[in-house]
Amino acid sequence: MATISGRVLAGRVVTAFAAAGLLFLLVLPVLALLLRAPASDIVARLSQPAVFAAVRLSLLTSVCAALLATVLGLPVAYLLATREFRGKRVLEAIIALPMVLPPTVAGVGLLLAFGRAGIAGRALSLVGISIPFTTAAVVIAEAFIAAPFFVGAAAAGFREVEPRYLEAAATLRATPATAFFRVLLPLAFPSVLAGATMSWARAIGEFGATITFAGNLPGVTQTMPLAVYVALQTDLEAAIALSVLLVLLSLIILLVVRAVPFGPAAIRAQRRAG
Amino acid sequence: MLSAELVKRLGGLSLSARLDIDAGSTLALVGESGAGKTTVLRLLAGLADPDQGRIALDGHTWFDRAGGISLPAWQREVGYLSQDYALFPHLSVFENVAFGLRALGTERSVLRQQVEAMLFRFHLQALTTRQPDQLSGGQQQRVALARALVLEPRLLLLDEPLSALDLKTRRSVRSELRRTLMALPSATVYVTHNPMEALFFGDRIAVLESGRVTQNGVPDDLLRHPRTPYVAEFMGVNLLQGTIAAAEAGGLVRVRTPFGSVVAADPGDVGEVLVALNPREITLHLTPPTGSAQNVFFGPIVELVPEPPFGERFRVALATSPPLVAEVTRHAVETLRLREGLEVHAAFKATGLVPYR
Repeated sequence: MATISGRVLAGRVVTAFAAAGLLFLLVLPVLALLLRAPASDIVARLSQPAVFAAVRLSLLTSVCAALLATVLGLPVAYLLATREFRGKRVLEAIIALPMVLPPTVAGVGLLLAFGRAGIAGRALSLVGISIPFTTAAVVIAEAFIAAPFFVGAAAAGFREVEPRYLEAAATLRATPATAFFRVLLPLAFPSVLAGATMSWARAIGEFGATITFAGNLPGVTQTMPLAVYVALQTDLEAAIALSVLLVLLSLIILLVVRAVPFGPAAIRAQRRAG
Repeated sequence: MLSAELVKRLGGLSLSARLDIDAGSTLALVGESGAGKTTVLRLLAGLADPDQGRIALDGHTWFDRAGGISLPAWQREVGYLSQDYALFPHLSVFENVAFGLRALGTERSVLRQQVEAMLFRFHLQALTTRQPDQLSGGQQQRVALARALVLEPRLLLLDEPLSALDLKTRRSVRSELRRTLMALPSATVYVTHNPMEALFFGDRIAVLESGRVTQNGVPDDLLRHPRTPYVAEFMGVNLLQGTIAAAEAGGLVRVRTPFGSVVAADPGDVGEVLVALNPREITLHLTPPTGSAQNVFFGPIVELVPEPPFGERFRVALATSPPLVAEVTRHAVETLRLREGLEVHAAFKATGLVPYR
């Protein structure tokens, strides 16, 4: 009979307990939410005007924030992936900072920069532009928090493209810009799209920076996470309905990013591997 | 024509080479891995810059360290085939071939016409819509060539273009590629580590050893007058280096080598010379030969390998001093019962040896 040594057995037991503990910690709150809310009830709650306004605002601002992060992040990701320069490590750390910073701190920073008395805000107020407590402020706060997710994924995608393809493009008379749009971007497209989607998902869930920098004005700056927080004190059922919607939305985005290969290049890469 | 002086330090490599190639001709660049062959191509293509030197093509300066000129790759009229061809995996055969023309902003109807002519020339019409991973190795190579040649480069750089192919494909692709290269107006550099390919493709052959060009000449020159032990081995002959010491009777001279002396034909010259020796000129004997061979060396057989076709001949490596390679008939192997480890006398005549400088 095969015997398992005591040490191996102990290792397996510890691993199993740790895995079970983590799953319990992660799954139970989600399960609790889903079990608590009857489906018919959720639909009814979500169609309330105040709740619906939050959903609409969240979708609008998060899509804008993801687009902003993508447009501004693409050149940065390209530079980080293809160039070596002094201070690159520092730049990478600065770009990743919002991922670990408490979002409320990010909000305070945004206020000091773009607030009425802020560094850039004062200049903007001279031309009659005031950002805080507007929908634009929500987009800026969300983009601030979400951008690192895009830059990280896109830069990793660019790094995976073998230099030989860019070199081939260069010897075929392609300027660096042509090589970027016709070779690098198409080949890294799965990662770029995954990065954009992840930054969108992060933007939808943003709370701390938004409430600090943009405030909590229903219809203007009150996104879904903010609405959940407010509803928790007055209308628990509405809070649960919004929470369930957020959970499902986030879960679907994550599953899509993981499971679906984006773009023809990824499909072929998979076929080659298989 | 291309004229290039390239100096580059890269990792453990210290490259310092001068290359001149006439328009319409092919230079075979040979050498062991790490000798700097691929580096030369990358410098010429503009994928890396030399530390010092100059690259000029038909009077246009592509690179000049002293003059501060360095055209980026995309401004050089160069075609570059890397070893694995690097076809764009996300583009069809047609789009791969059209890539360069699109980058140049060629007008749509002209582009279609030129790409189709190129696809026709390389027998790719039936594969237009295929993706690169649906092509055989030989087809991929033709697409890579078509993709480069549609731009009519002034300089074509081929990095071991046959090494990614299996043996069977290689033979048919080889003849086709030679016909293509012979019809090209551009200067071509063909990098290989295979002697047969170098002789097959090169109008001239340049040998690169540890970053230096040790010999540059027409194939006959390298075959008959190898200048370094590596070139001699590459061309399959024995090479002795020595000094002409004394005249002998009958139009012969004695050449002193670090391993003892050999008798050779008098080249009418004195001083340092090289002597190339065809392996077939060497005969093997179990006892000291008494015939007309003036040169005899003694040592054990270290390798005994039958040669195609049919193993009619055997290649015999000898640990004599100097080490020699002989080529003998199967009959000789069987009658003398040659085997590895057996000690033999290797003999060759003086008349077959013509020293050169």
